[in-house]
Amino acid sequence: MGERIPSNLLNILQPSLLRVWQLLFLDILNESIKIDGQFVFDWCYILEIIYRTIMGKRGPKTQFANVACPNKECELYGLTGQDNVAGNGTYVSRGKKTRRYICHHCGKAFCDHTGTFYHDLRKDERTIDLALKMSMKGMSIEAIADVLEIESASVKRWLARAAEQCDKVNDNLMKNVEVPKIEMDELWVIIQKK
Amino acid sequence: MGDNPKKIVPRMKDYEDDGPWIWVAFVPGCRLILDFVIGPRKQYVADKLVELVNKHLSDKIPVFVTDGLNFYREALLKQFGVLKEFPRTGKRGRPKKPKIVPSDDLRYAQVVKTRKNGVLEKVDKKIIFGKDIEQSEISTTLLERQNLTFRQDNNRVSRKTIGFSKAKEWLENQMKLYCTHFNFCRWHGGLRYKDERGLSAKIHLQEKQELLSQNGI
Repeated sequence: MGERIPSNLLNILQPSLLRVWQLLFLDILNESIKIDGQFVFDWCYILEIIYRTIMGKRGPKTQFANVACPNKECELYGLTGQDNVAGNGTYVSRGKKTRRYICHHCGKAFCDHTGTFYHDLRKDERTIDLALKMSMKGMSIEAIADVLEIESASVKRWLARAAEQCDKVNDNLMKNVEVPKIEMDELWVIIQKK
Repeated sequence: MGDNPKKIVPRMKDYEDDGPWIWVAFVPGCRLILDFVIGPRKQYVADKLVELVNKHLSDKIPVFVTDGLNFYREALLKQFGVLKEFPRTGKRGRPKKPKIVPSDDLRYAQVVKTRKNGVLEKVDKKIIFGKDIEQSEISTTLLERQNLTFRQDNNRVSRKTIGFSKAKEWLENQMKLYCTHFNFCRWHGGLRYKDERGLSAKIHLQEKQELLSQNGI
């Protein structure tokens, strides 16, 4: 029994074939396969073009085309699909397998958590989220520490880090705001006096 | 004990002024808290708030509506005013000093409330800078309602509580987290029937985890 040809094979091949025709057309224009003023169809050459178009360049392929280098000093900072990021092993963080990467342009290694809120935190994400949600609803730091059975210094550290991240998010999302009206007012609060 | 005269409770007006205040800038159309500053009722805090608001805005200046506090007037003039120099007249006497005047597109109005013995007597709607401001537009109702939401949600800013913050830093951190969650994660019933949110940055129901994981790139 032969393998059944998938019905969508043509759909998969169509863009590749189009690219092949484009390349051939360009080559004809450049007269690279024109010998003594006559067109010569070298089938090996055409098959090579087809192979290269479908398989890409020779050599090892990078799997992480959608990952960008987070190093601000790197020339390829924030750019994806530049073939500069390669896998650099994995490690276990908070019971989960986490992928490490390396940027071949600047040589810096990083992981999925680099530059995010959860980078270098050892508590599981659920506990941290719960602590922040409780803080948002107005619970005190000591009360949160008591409920989640953690140290109050940890809650403080997470809260300070979350505030820092909020600043970044606000700067990023609230730029060039066009609104018709702004209201401003004051709200009296109490802070302990000594 | 009974001979002691009755202790006079100070009027709210007197004791409120001493403490710190949260100065909030709010966009009523899409329930967006633009920024806030914690500080006393002083000119420099108003200046800081207007400066922070200006950082978020595009070139188009919106209509500003505040209560009757005159610090905002000075702060807006400092931020959006233009220095006008007067030409020499050639006559005797000291030349006129340059003056800061509001730019043409700056529009600012105040809602001034007059109270008598704590009871509201009159509400005045004053246009301070610019023209073409509709009377119905001059209102701070939605921000006053927002202040109540702050007080209801958050024990740290409630009235008559002993759950207040001990340090300004932690109140500020907590308020930042609250405001960012309010702006980008929380669903607002008041916006349910409006098609036009007025702001593309206002992303509702965005997962908090996603928000916190943002790199800030």
